[in-house]
Amino acid sequence: MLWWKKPPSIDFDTLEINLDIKELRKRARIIVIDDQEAEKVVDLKREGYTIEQWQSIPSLRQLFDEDFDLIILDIRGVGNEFSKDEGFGVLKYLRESGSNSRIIAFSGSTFDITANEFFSQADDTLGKDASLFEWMRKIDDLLREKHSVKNYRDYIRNYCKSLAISDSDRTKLESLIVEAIEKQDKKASSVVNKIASLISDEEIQKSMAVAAIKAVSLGIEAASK
Amino acid sequence: MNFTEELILSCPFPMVNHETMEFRDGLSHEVPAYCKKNFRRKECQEFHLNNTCEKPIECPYGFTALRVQGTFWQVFGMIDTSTKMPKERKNSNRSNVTSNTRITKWAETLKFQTQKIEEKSEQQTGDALYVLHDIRISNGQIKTNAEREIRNRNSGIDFGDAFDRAPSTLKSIYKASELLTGQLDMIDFYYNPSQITRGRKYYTHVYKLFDKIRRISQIKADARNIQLNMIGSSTSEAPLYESIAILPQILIDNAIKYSIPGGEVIISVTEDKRLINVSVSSVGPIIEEDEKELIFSRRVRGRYAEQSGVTGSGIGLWVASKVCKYNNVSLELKIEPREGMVNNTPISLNRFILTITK
Repeated sequence: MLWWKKPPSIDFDTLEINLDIKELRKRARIIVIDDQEAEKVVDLKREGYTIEQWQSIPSLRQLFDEDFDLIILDIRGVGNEFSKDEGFGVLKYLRESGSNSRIIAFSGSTFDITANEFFSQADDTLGKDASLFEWMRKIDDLLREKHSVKNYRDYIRNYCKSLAISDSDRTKLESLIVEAIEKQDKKASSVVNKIASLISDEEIQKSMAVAAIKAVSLGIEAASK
Repeated sequence: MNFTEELILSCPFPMVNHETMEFRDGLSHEVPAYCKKNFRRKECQEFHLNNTCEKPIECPYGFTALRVQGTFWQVFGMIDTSTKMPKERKNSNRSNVTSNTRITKWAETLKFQTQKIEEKSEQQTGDALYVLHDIRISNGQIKTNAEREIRNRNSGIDFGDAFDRAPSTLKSIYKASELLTGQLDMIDFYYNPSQITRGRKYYTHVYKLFDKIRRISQIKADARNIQLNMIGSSTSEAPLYESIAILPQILIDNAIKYSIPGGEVIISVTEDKRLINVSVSSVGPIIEEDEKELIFSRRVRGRYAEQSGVTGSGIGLWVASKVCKYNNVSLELKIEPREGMVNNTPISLNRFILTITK
Protein backbone atom coordinates (compact mmCIF):
# COMPACT_ATOMS: atom_id res chain seq x y z
CA MET A 1 0.00 0.00 0.00
CA LEU A 2 1.26 3.45 -0.88
CA TRP A 3 1.15 6.04 1.87
CA TRP A 4 1.72 9.67 1.36
CA LYS A 5 1.42 12.62 3.60
CA LYS A 6 -1.52 14.90 3.00
CA PRO A 7 -0.15 18.25 1.79
CA PRO A 8 -0.92 21.18 4.13
CA SER A 9 -4.18 22.84 3.14
CA ILE A 10 -3.01 26.23 4.38
CA ASP A 11 -0.48 28.33 2.52
CA PHE A 12 1.20 30.86 4.84
CA ASP A 13 2.05 33.20 1.99
CA THR A 14 -1.56 33.65 0.97
CA LEU A 15 -3.05 33.50 4.45
CA GLU A 16 -3.65 37.20 4.94
CA ILE A 17 -5.86 38.50 7.65
CA ASN A 18 -6.74 41.82 5.95
CA LEU A 19 -7.83 43.44 9.16
CA ASP A 20 -9.59 46.74 8.92
CA ILE A 21 -6.96 49.39 9.63
CA LYS A 22 -9.05 50.95 12.42
CA GLU A 23 -9.27 47.57 14.12
CA LEU A 24 -5.53 47.04 13.68
CA ARG A 25 -4.71 50.47 15.16
CA LYS A 26 -6.79 49.55 18.19
CA ARG A 27 -5.46 46.04 18.58
CA ALA A 28 -1.71 46.65 18.08
CA ARG A 29 0.43 47.90 20.96
CA ILE A 30 2.79 50.79 20.26
CA ILE A 31 5.33 52.37 22.59
CA VAL A 32 7.16 55.67 22.08
CA ILE A 33 10.45 55.84 24.00
CA ASP A 34 11.57 59.45 24.32
CA ASP A 35 12.87 61.38 27.32
CA GLN A 36 10.95 64.46 26.13
CA GLU A 37 7.17 64.51 26.03
CA ALA A 38 6.18 63.07 22.65
CA GLU A 39 3.24 65.25 21.68
CA LYS A 40 2.13 62.98 18.85
CA VAL A 41 1.11 60.29 21.38
CA VAL A 42 -1.97 62.36 22.34
CA ASP A 43 -2.88 62.94 18.69
CA LEU A 44 -2.41 59.30 17.72
CA LYS A 45 -4.60 58.14 20.63
CA ARG A 46 -7.24 60.47 19.28
CA GLU A 47 -6.90 58.79 15.88
CA GLY A 48 -7.62 55.42 17.50
CA TYR A 49 -4.15 53.97 18.14
CA THR A 50 -3.26 52.02 21.27
CA ILE A 51 -0.10 53.93 22.08
CA GLU A 52 1.77 54.89 25.21
CA GLN A 53 5.05 56.58 26.09
CA TRP A 54 7.98 55.66 28.30
CA GLN A 55 10.32 58.52 29.16
CA SER A 56 12.81 55.97 30.44
CA ILE A 57 13.16 52.20 30.05
CA PRO A 58 12.51 50.20 33.28
CA SER A 59 14.64 47.32 32.02
CA LEU A 60 15.69 46.01 28.64
CA ARG A 61 14.23 42.59 29.44
CA GLN A 62 10.87 44.18 30.23
CA LEU A 63 10.94 46.04 26.93
CA PHE A 64 11.65 42.73 25.17
CA ASP A 65 9.03 40.76 27.14
CA GLU A 66 6.29 43.32 26.57
CA ASP A 67 6.53 42.27 22.90
CA PHE A 68 5.22 45.58 21.57
CA ASP A 69 4.14 45.45 17.96
CA LEU A 70 5.95 48.70 17.31
CA ILE A 71 8.64 50.60 19.21
CA ILE A 72 9.27 54.22 18.27
CA LEU A 73 12.71 54.85 19.71
CA ASP A 74 14.65 58.09 20.19
CA ILE A 75 18.44 57.94 20.01
CA ARG A 76 19.38 60.60 22.59
CA GLY A 77 18.52 60.68 26.28
CA VAL A 78 17.09 57.15 26.50
CA GLY A 79 18.71 53.89 27.53
CA ASN A 80 21.87 55.63 28.81
CA GLU A 81 21.68 53.56 31.99
CA PHE A 82 22.13 50.41 29.87
CA SER A 83 24.43 51.55 27.09
CA LYS A 84 26.74 54.43 26.24
CA ASP A 85 25.15 54.29 22.78
CA GLU A 86 21.81 55.31 24.37
CA GLY A 87 18.90 54.55 22.00
CA PHE A 88 21.20 52.81 19.55
CA GLY A 89 22.33 50.48 22.36
CA VAL A 90 18.66 49.64 23.04
CA LEU A 91 18.04 48.94 19.36
CA LYS A 92 21.13 46.70 19.18
CA TYR A 93 19.93 44.77 22.26
CA LEU A 94 16.49 44.20 20.73
CA ARG A 95 17.95 43.05 17.42
CA GLU A 96 20.50 40.75 19.05
CA SER A 97 17.98 39.19 21.40
CA GLY A 98 15.65 38.39 18.50
CA SER A 99 12.81 40.76 19.27
CA ASN A 100 9.93 40.55 16.79
CA SER A 101 8.89 44.17 17.43
CA ARG A 102 9.09 46.60 14.53
CA ILE A 103 11.31 49.58 15.36
CA ILE A 104 11.14 53.14 14.08
CA ALA A 105 14.21 55.33 14.69
CA PHE A 106 12.81 58.63 15.93
CA SER A 107 15.27 61.50 16.00
CA GLY A 108 15.92 65.15 15.29
CA SER A 109 19.62 64.43 14.74
CA THR A 110 19.41 63.16 11.19
CA PHE A 111 22.36 65.38 10.22
CA ASP A 112 24.60 63.48 12.64
CA ILE A 113 26.78 60.95 10.84
CA THR A 114 27.46 59.11 14.10
CA ALA A 115 23.76 58.16 14.20
CA ASN A 116 23.74 56.58 10.72
CA GLU A 117 23.96 53.01 11.98
CA PHE A 118 21.01 53.64 14.29
CA PHE A 119 18.91 54.73 11.33
CA SER A 120 20.09 51.92 9.08
CA GLN A 121 19.27 49.17 11.61
CA ALA A 122 15.74 50.41 12.25
CA ASP A 123 12.78 49.33 10.13
CA ASP A 124 11.95 52.93 9.32
CA THR A 125 12.65 56.48 10.53
CA LEU A 126 10.64 59.48 11.70
CA GLY A 127 11.89 63.03 12.19
CA LYS A 128 10.90 65.11 15.20
CA ASP A 129 8.90 67.41 12.94
CA ALA A 130 7.17 64.68 10.94
CA SER A 131 3.53 65.33 10.17
CA LEU A 132 0.66 63.29 11.59
CA PHE A 133 0.07 61.97 8.04
CA GLU A 134 3.64 60.68 7.96
CA TRP A 135 3.37 59.09 11.42
CA MET A 136 0.12 57.34 10.52
CA ARG A 137 1.37 56.16 7.13
CA LYS A 138 4.54 54.63 8.56
CA ILE A 139 2.89 53.13 11.62
CA ASP A 140 0.07 51.58 9.55
CA ASP A 141 2.54 50.16 7.08
CA LEU A 142 4.62 48.45 9.78
CA LEU A 143 1.58 47.23 11.70
CA ARG A 144 0.16 45.57 8.58
CA GLU A 145 3.52 43.93 7.98
CA LYS A 146 3.83 42.79 11.60
CA HIS A 147 0.26 41.59 11.91
CA SER A 148 0.49 38.80 9.36
CA VAL A 149 0.75 35.04 9.69
CA LYS A 150 3.70 35.15 7.30
CA ASN A 151 5.60 37.50 9.62
CA TYR A 152 5.36 35.06 12.54
CA ARG A 153 6.21 32.12 10.28
CA ASP A 154 9.32 34.01 9.04
CA TYR A 155 10.22 34.95 12.61
CA ILE A 156 10.11 31.30 13.73
CA ARG A 157 11.98 30.22 10.58
CA ASN A 158 14.79 32.76 11.15
CA TYR A 159 15.02 31.89 14.83
CA CYS A 160 15.35 28.19 13.94
CA LYS A 161 18.13 29.05 11.50
CA SER A 162 20.04 31.11 14.09
CA LEU A 163 19.71 28.23 16.61
CA ALA A 164 20.92 25.68 14.03
CA ILE A 165 17.69 23.66 14.29
CA SER A 166 17.52 21.12 11.47
CA ASP A 167 15.38 21.74 8.40
CA SER A 168 13.27 18.66 9.14
CA ASP A 169 12.46 19.88 12.67
CA ARG A 170 11.65 23.34 11.34
CA THR A 171 9.37 21.86 8.68
CA LYS A 172 7.69 19.73 11.36
CA LEU A 173 7.14 22.86 13.46
CA GLU A 174 5.51 24.65 10.53
CA SER A 175 3.28 21.64 9.81
CA LEU A 176 2.17 21.64 13.44
CA ILE A 177 1.25 25.33 13.15
CA VAL A 178 -0.86 24.53 10.06
CA GLU A 179 -2.53 21.65 11.93
CA ALA A 180 -3.30 23.88 14.91
CA ILE A 181 -4.89 26.44 12.57
CA GLU A 182 -6.99 23.74 10.93
CA LYS A 183 -8.05 22.31 14.30
CA GLN A 184 -8.64 25.86 15.58
CA ASP A 185 -6.41 25.07 18.56
CA LYS A 186 -5.73 28.60 19.81
CA LYS A 187 -3.37 27.37 22.51
CA ALA A 188 -1.28 25.63 19.86
CA SER A 189 -0.31 22.97 22.45
CA SER A 190 1.38 20.60 19.99
CA VAL A 191 3.50 23.47 18.61
CA VAL A 192 4.46 24.67 22.09
CA ASN A 193 5.44 21.11 23.11
CA LYS A 194 7.55 20.68 20.00
CA ILE A 195 9.31 24.00 20.71
CA ALA A 196 10.02 22.82 24.27
CA SER A 197 11.54 19.62 22.93
CA LEU A 198 13.79 21.49 20.53
CA ILE A 199 14.99 24.42 22.65
CA SER A 200 16.38 24.29 26.17
CA ASP A 201 16.75 28.05 26.84
CA GLU A 202 13.54 29.11 28.61
CA GLU A 203 13.59 32.71 27.36
CA ILE A 204 13.98 31.61 23.74
CA GLN A 205 11.31 28.93 24.24
CA LYS A 206 8.95 31.63 25.50
CA SER A 207 9.61 34.00 22.57
CA MET A 208 9.11 31.21 20.03
CA ALA A 209 5.96 29.95 21.76
CA VAL A 210 4.46 33.47 21.82
CA ALA A 211 5.20 33.84 18.09
CA ALA A 212 3.70 30.42 17.32
CA ILE A 213 0.53 31.14 19.31
CA LYS A 214 0.16 34.48 17.52
CA ALA A 215 0.67 32.80 14.15
CA VAL A 216 -1.99 30.20 14.97
CA SER A 217 -4.41 32.76 16.35
CA LEU A 218 -4.02 35.05 13.30
CA GLY A 219 -4.23 32.00 11.01
CA ILE A 220 -7.53 30.88 12.58
CA GLU A 221 -8.90 34.41 12.18
CA ALA A 222 -7.76 34.62 8.56
CA ALA A 223 -9.04 31.14 7.66
CA SER A 224 -12.47 31.90 9.10
CA LYS A 225 -12.89 35.01 6.87
CA MET B 1 40.98 82.51 5.78
CA ASN B 2 42.84 84.59 8.35
CA PHE B 3 46.51 84.11 8.77
CA THR B 4 48.33 85.11 11.89
CA GLU B 5 51.19 87.58 11.78
CA GLU B 6 53.56 84.73 12.47
CA LEU B 7 52.53 82.86 9.37
CA ILE B 8 52.72 85.87 7.08
CA LEU B 9 56.11 86.96 8.35
CA SER B 10 57.52 83.49 8.17
CA CYS B 11 56.47 82.98 4.55
CA PRO B 12 59.66 82.52 2.54
CA PHE B 13 57.90 83.42 -0.69
CA PRO B 14 56.11 86.55 -1.77
CA MET B 15 52.35 86.52 -1.07
CA VAL B 16 50.18 88.57 -3.41
CA ASN B 17 46.62 89.88 -3.27
CA HIS B 18 44.35 87.46 -5.06
CA GLU B 19 42.58 90.03 -7.22
CA THR B 20 45.03 92.91 -7.70
CA MET B 21 48.14 90.73 -7.78
CA GLU B 22 49.89 93.38 -5.64
CA PHE B 23 52.53 92.27 -3.22
CA ARG B 24 50.91 91.59 0.15
CA ASP B 25 53.43 90.11 2.52
CA GLY B 26 56.05 87.48 3.02
CA LEU B 27 59.49 87.93 1.50
CA SER B 28 59.76 90.05 -1.61
CA HIS B 29 62.38 88.70 -3.98
CA GLU B 30 64.60 90.81 -6.15
CA VAL B 31 64.58 89.99 -9.82
CA PRO B 32 67.96 88.36 -10.36
CA ALA B 33 70.39 90.56 -12.31
CA TYR B 34 70.84 87.69 -14.74
CA CYS B 35 67.15 87.82 -15.64
CA LYS B 36 67.13 91.63 -15.71
CA LYS B 37 69.90 91.58 -18.21
CA ASN B 38 68.76 88.67 -20.37
CA PHE B 39 64.99 88.96 -20.22
CA ARG B 40 64.23 92.67 -20.30
CA ARG B 41 60.73 92.11 -21.66
CA LYS B 42 59.87 90.29 -18.42
CA GLU B 43 58.83 87.12 -20.25
CA CYS B 44 59.40 85.34 -16.96
CA GLN B 45 56.79 87.41 -15.13
CA GLU B 46 54.35 86.96 -17.96
CA PHE B 47 54.93 83.23 -17.87
CA HIS B 48 54.39 83.22 -14.13
CA LEU B 49 51.12 85.13 -14.20
CA ASN B 50 49.61 83.24 -17.08
CA ASN B 51 50.49 79.83 -15.81
CA THR B 52 47.54 78.32 -13.94
CA CYS B 53 49.19 75.02 -13.14
CA GLU B 54 49.52 74.63 -9.39
CA LYS B 55 52.23 72.01 -9.60
CA PRO B 56 55.82 73.26 -9.73
CA ILE B 57 56.95 73.55 -13.32
CA GLU B 58 60.20 74.50 -14.94
CA CYS B 59 60.22 77.93 -16.53
CA PRO B 60 61.77 78.16 -20.02
CA TYR B 61 64.91 79.68 -18.57
CA GLY B 62 65.85 76.89 -16.20
CA PHE B 63 64.10 78.01 -13.00
CA THR B 64 61.41 75.91 -11.36
CA ALA B 65 58.36 78.05 -10.74
CA LEU B 66 55.60 77.25 -8.28
CA ARG B 67 52.26 78.85 -7.70
CA VAL B 68 49.99 77.88 -4.80
CA GLN B 69 46.45 79.14 -4.95
CA GLY B 70 44.56 79.72 -1.67
CA THR B 71 41.08 81.16 -1.18
CA PHE B 72 42.30 84.73 -0.76
CA TRP B 73 45.98 84.44 -1.45
CA GLN B 74 48.52 83.08 -3.85
CA VAL B 75 52.10 82.20 -3.20
CA PHE B 76 54.65 82.47 -5.98
CA GLY B 77 57.96 80.78 -5.63
CA MET B 78 61.01 80.23 -7.70
CA ILE B 79 63.44 77.45 -6.98
CA ASP B 80 66.63 77.20 -8.95
CA THR B 81 67.22 73.52 -9.54
CA SER B 82 69.67 73.85 -12.33
CA THR B 83 73.01 72.28 -11.41
CA LYS B 84 74.89 73.43 -14.45
CA MET B 85 74.22 77.10 -13.86
CA PRO B 86 76.37 79.83 -15.32
CA LYS B 87 78.39 81.53 -12.56
CA GLU B 88 76.93 84.93 -13.43
CA ARG B 89 73.38 83.63 -12.96
CA LYS B 90 74.25 81.87 -9.73
CA ASN B 91 75.79 84.99 -8.22
CA SER B 92 72.98 87.29 -9.24
CA ASN B 93 70.39 85.08 -7.55
CA ARG B 94 72.30 84.68 -4.28
CA SER B 95 70.35 87.42 -2.42
CA ASN B 96 67.09 85.51 -3.00
CA VAL B 97 68.21 82.21 -1.56
CA THR B 98 65.78 80.88 1.04
CA SER B 99 66.96 78.23 3.40
CA ASN B 100 65.33 74.82 3.59
CA THR B 101 64.86 75.34 7.33
CA ARG B 102 62.84 78.44 6.67
CA ILE B 103 60.67 76.70 4.05
CA THR B 104 60.08 73.75 6.37
CA LYS B 105 59.19 76.04 9.29
CA TRP B 106 56.75 77.93 7.11
CA ALA B 107 55.19 74.73 5.79
CA GLU B 108 54.75 73.46 9.35
CA THR B 109 53.21 76.75 10.49
CA LEU B 110 50.91 76.66 7.49
CA LYS B 111 49.88 73.09 8.24
CA PHE B 112 49.26 73.92 11.90
CA GLN B 113 47.24 77.02 11.05
CA THR B 114 45.16 75.15 8.46
CA GLN B 115 44.46 72.37 10.94
CA LYS B 116 43.38 74.91 13.58
CA ILE B 117 41.10 76.66 11.09
CA GLU B 118 39.59 73.34 9.98
CA GLU B 119 38.98 72.27 13.58
CA LYS B 120 37.34 75.59 14.40
CA SER B 121 35.20 75.48 11.29
CA GLU B 122 34.16 71.88 12.05
CA GLN B 123 33.22 72.86 15.60
CA GLN B 124 31.21 75.85 14.38
CA THR B 125 29.41 73.68 11.82
CA GLY B 126 28.72 71.09 14.53
CA ASP B 127 27.28 73.77 16.86
CA ALA B 128 25.12 75.15 14.06
CA LEU B 129 23.86 71.68 13.17
CA TYR B 130 22.85 70.96 16.75
CA VAL B 131 20.68 74.06 16.60
CA LEU B 132 18.86 72.28 13.77
CA HIS B 133 17.70 69.67 16.27
CA ASP B 134 15.94 72.41 18.27
CA ILE B 135 14.57 73.99 15.09
CA ARG B 136 13.05 70.64 14.12
CA ILE B 137 11.40 70.36 17.53
CA SER B 138 9.97 73.90 17.29
CA ASN B 139 8.81 73.19 13.75
CA GLY B 140 7.20 69.99 15.01
CA GLN B 141 5.28 72.01 17.62
CA ILE B 142 3.99 74.43 14.98
CA LYS B 143 2.83 71.50 12.86
CA THR B 144 1.26 69.69 15.81
CA ASN B 145 -0.67 72.82 16.83
CA ALA B 146 -1.93 73.29 13.27
CA GLU B 147 -2.94 69.61 13.10
CA ARG B 148 -4.77 69.81 16.44
CA GLU B 149 -6.65 72.89 15.33
CA ILE B 150 -7.59 71.08 12.10
CA ARG B 151 -8.76 68.07 14.13
CA ASN B 152 -10.70 70.22 16.65
CA ARG B 153 -12.71 71.79 13.86
CA ASN B 154 -13.76 68.43 12.39
CA SER B 155 -13.87 65.49 14.74
CA GLY B 156 -15.42 62.12 13.97
CA ILE B 157 -14.04 61.89 10.42
CA ASP B 158 -10.70 60.74 9.00
CA PHE B 159 -7.85 63.16 9.61
CA GLY B 160 -7.33 63.42 5.83
CA ASP B 161 -10.93 64.58 5.36
CA ALA B 162 -10.61 66.95 8.31
CA PHE B 163 -7.54 68.43 6.66
CA ASP B 164 -9.38 68.94 3.34
CA ARG B 165 -12.18 70.78 5.14
CA ALA B 166 -9.86 73.05 7.18
CA PRO B 167 -9.72 76.78 6.41
CA SER B 168 -6.97 77.82 4.00
CA THR B 169 -5.17 80.00 6.58
CA LEU B 170 -4.74 76.99 8.83
CA LYS B 171 -3.62 74.82 5.95
CA SER B 172 -1.07 77.43 4.90
CA ILE B 173 0.53 77.32 8.40
CA TYR B 174 0.77 73.56 8.07
CA LYS B 175 2.21 73.84 4.55
CA ALA B 176 4.81 76.40 5.65
CA SER B 177 5.90 73.97 8.35
CA GLU B 178 6.14 71.19 5.75
CA LEU B 179 8.33 73.44 3.57
CA LEU B 180 10.60 74.06 6.55
CA THR B 181 10.84 70.30 7.15
CA GLY B 182 11.97 69.94 3.53
CA GLN B 183 14.58 72.66 3.94
CA LEU B 184 15.92 71.03 7.12
CA ASP B 185 16.04 67.69 5.29
CA MET B 186 18.08 69.36 2.57
CA ILE B 187 20.65 70.48 5.16
CA ASP B 188 20.73 66.92 6.54
CA PHE B 189 21.34 65.49 3.09
CA TYR B 190 24.04 68.09 2.42
CA TYR B 191 26.02 67.30 5.56
CA ASN B 192 25.08 63.63 5.78
CA PRO B 193 24.24 62.24 2.31
CA SER B 194 23.73 58.72 3.66
CA GLN B 195 20.44 60.01 5.09
CA ILE B 196 19.12 60.04 1.52
CA THR B 197 18.58 56.28 1.80
CA ARG B 198 17.22 56.33 5.35
CA GLY B 199 14.07 54.38 6.06
CA ARG B 200 12.44 52.12 3.51
CA LYS B 201 11.32 52.56 -0.05
CA TYR B 202 7.65 53.40 -0.49
CA TYR B 203 5.53 53.17 -3.59
CA THR B 204 5.27 56.88 -4.33
CA HIS B 205 2.64 58.48 -6.53
CA VAL B 206 4.94 60.82 -8.45
CA TYR B 207 2.22 63.06 -9.93
CA LYS B 208 0.61 63.57 -6.51
CA LEU B 209 4.00 64.32 -4.94
CA PHE B 210 4.79 67.08 -7.45
CA ASP B 211 1.25 68.41 -7.23
CA LYS B 212 1.47 68.56 -3.43
CA ILE B 213 4.71 70.59 -3.56
CA ARG B 214 3.23 72.78 -6.31
CA ARG B 215 0.35 73.65 -3.99
CA ILE B 216 2.67 74.28 -1.05
CA SER B 217 4.89 76.49 -3.26
CA GLN B 218 1.98 78.53 -4.64
CA ILE B 219 2.48 81.17 -1.96
CA LYS B 220 6.06 81.77 -3.16
CA ALA B 221 4.98 81.91 -6.82
CA ASP B 222 2.22 84.41 -5.99
CA ALA B 223 4.72 86.64 -4.19
CA ARG B 224 6.76 86.85 -7.43
CA ASN B 225 3.75 86.97 -9.73
CA ILE B 226 4.81 83.69 -11.35
CA GLN B 227 2.28 81.26 -12.79
CA LEU B 228 2.79 77.75 -11.47
CA ASN B 229 1.12 75.22 -13.77
CA MET B 230 0.94 71.46 -13.80
CA ILE B 231 0.31 69.52 -17.03
CA GLY B 232 0.18 65.87 -18.09
CA SER B 233 -1.18 62.93 -16.19
CA SER B 234 0.18 59.88 -14.46
CA THR B 235 -1.36 57.43 -12.04
CA SER B 236 1.66 55.21 -11.48
CA GLU B 237 3.72 54.72 -8.38
CA ALA B 238 7.44 54.03 -8.16
CA PRO B 239 9.45 52.49 -5.30
CA LEU B 240 11.42 55.43 -3.91
CA TYR B 241 13.01 56.53 -0.65
CA GLU B 242 11.16 59.29 1.18
CA SER B 243 14.12 61.60 0.39
CA ILE B 244 12.58 61.90 -3.09
CA ALA B 245 10.14 64.41 -1.58
CA ILE B 246 12.94 67.00 -1.53
CA LEU B 247 13.33 66.81 -5.31
CA PRO B 248 10.15 68.68 -6.36
CA GLN B 249 10.84 71.17 -3.60
CA ILE B 250 14.34 71.98 -4.90
CA LEU B 251 13.38 72.06 -8.60
CA ILE B 252 10.15 74.05 -8.18
CA ASP B 253 11.76 76.43 -5.69
CA ASN B 254 14.68 77.09 -8.09
CA ALA B 255 12.34 77.56 -11.06
CA ILE B 256 10.27 80.14 -9.14
CA LYS B 257 13.38 81.88 -7.82
CA TYR B 258 15.13 82.29 -11.17
CA SER B 259 12.06 82.74 -13.39
CA ILE B 260 11.76 86.07 -15.20
CA PRO B 261 9.22 88.42 -13.53
CA GLY B 262 5.67 87.49 -14.51
CA GLY B 263 6.95 84.22 -16.01
CA GLU B 264 5.57 80.71 -15.92
CA VAL B 265 6.84 77.54 -14.29
CA ILE B 266 5.53 74.39 -15.97
CA ILE B 267 5.61 71.06 -14.21
CA SER B 268 4.89 68.17 -16.53
CA VAL B 269 4.34 64.57 -15.41
CA THR B 270 3.68 61.89 -18.02
CA GLU B 271 4.26 58.16 -18.23
CA ASP B 272 4.69 55.25 -20.55
CA LYS B 273 4.70 51.51 -19.79
CA ARG B 274 8.00 51.53 -17.97
CA LEU B 275 8.87 55.12 -17.06
CA ILE B 276 7.47 58.20 -15.38
CA ASN B 277 8.80 61.38 -17.02
CA VAL B 278 8.83 64.65 -15.12
CA SER B 279 10.04 68.05 -16.23
CA VAL B 280 10.19 71.38 -14.42
CA SER B 281 10.78 74.26 -16.81
CA SER B 282 10.99 78.03 -16.65
CA VAL B 283 12.65 80.91 -18.49
CA GLY B 284 15.51 82.37 -16.47
CA PRO B 285 19.22 83.26 -16.61
CA ILE B 286 20.92 81.23 -19.32
CA ILE B 287 22.88 78.18 -18.26
CA GLU B 288 25.74 77.84 -20.70
CA GLU B 289 26.68 74.57 -22.34
CA ASP B 290 29.91 74.23 -20.33
CA GLU B 291 27.95 74.65 -17.07
CA LYS B 292 25.35 71.95 -17.72
CA GLU B 293 27.20 69.37 -15.63
CA LEU B 294 28.98 71.80 -13.34
CA ILE B 295 25.86 73.32 -11.78
CA PHE B 296 25.15 69.94 -10.13
CA SER B 297 28.43 70.22 -8.22
CA ARG B 298 28.64 71.22 -4.58
CA ARG B 299 28.49 75.00 -4.06
CA VAL B 300 28.61 75.83 -7.77
CA ARG B 301 26.17 78.28 -9.37
CA GLY B 302 25.79 79.24 -13.01
CA ARG B 303 27.63 82.45 -13.87
CA TYR B 304 24.45 84.18 -15.09
CA ALA B 305 22.47 82.94 -12.08
CA GLU B 306 25.14 84.61 -9.95
CA GLN B 307 25.05 87.75 -12.10
CA SER B 308 21.24 87.95 -11.94
CA GLY B 309 21.45 89.01 -8.29
CA VAL B 310 19.26 86.12 -7.07
CA THR B 311 20.74 84.75 -3.87
CA GLY B 312 21.65 81.09 -3.77
CA SER B 313 24.08 78.74 -2.14
CA GLY B 314 24.84 76.17 -4.83
CA ILE B 315 23.57 73.44 -2.53
CA GLY B 316 20.12 72.61 -3.94
CA LEU B 317 21.06 71.09 -7.27
CA TRP B 318 23.94 69.15 -5.71
CA VAL B 319 21.52 67.63 -3.19
CA ALA B 320 18.99 67.00 -6.00
CA SER B 321 21.62 65.13 -8.03
CA LYS B 322 22.54 62.97 -5.01
CA VAL B 323 18.89 62.21 -4.22
CA CYS B 324 18.41 61.15 -7.87
CA LYS B 325 21.54 59.02 -7.81
CA TYR B 326 20.51 57.06 -4.69
CA ASN B 327 16.95 56.63 -5.98
CA ASN B 328 18.09 55.48 -9.46
CA VAL B 329 16.39 58.45 -11.05
CA SER B 330 18.02 60.11 -14.05
CA LEU B 331 18.29 63.91 -13.95
CA GLU B 332 19.26 65.97 -16.97
CA LEU B 333 19.10 69.57 -18.02
CA LYS B 334 18.00 70.87 -21.42
CA ILE B 335 18.55 74.47 -22.42
CA GLU B 336 16.87 76.45 -25.21
CA PRO B 337 18.32 79.99 -25.52
CA ARG B 338 15.70 82.72 -25.84
CA GLU B 339 15.81 86.19 -27.40
CA GLY B 340 16.26 89.21 -25.16
CA MET B 341 17.78 90.00 -21.82
CA VAL B 342 16.39 90.44 -18.33
CA ASN B 343 18.36 92.68 -15.97
CA ASN B 344 21.26 92.60 -18.46
CA THR B 345 21.28 88.82 -18.28
CA PRO B 346 20.76 86.60 -21.34
CA ILE B 347 17.92 84.11 -20.85
CA SER B 348 16.98 80.57 -21.82
CA LEU B 349 14.23 78.03 -21.26
CA ASN B 350 15.76 75.72 -18.66
CA ARG B 351 14.18 72.27 -18.36
CA PHE B 352 15.15 69.87 -15.61
CA ILE B 353 14.06 66.40 -16.71
CA LEU B 354 13.62 63.41 -14.42
CA THR B 355 13.15 59.85 -15.61
CA ILE B 356 11.85 57.45 -12.99
CA THR B 357 11.53 53.69 -13.45
CA LYS B 358 8.18 52.33 -12.25
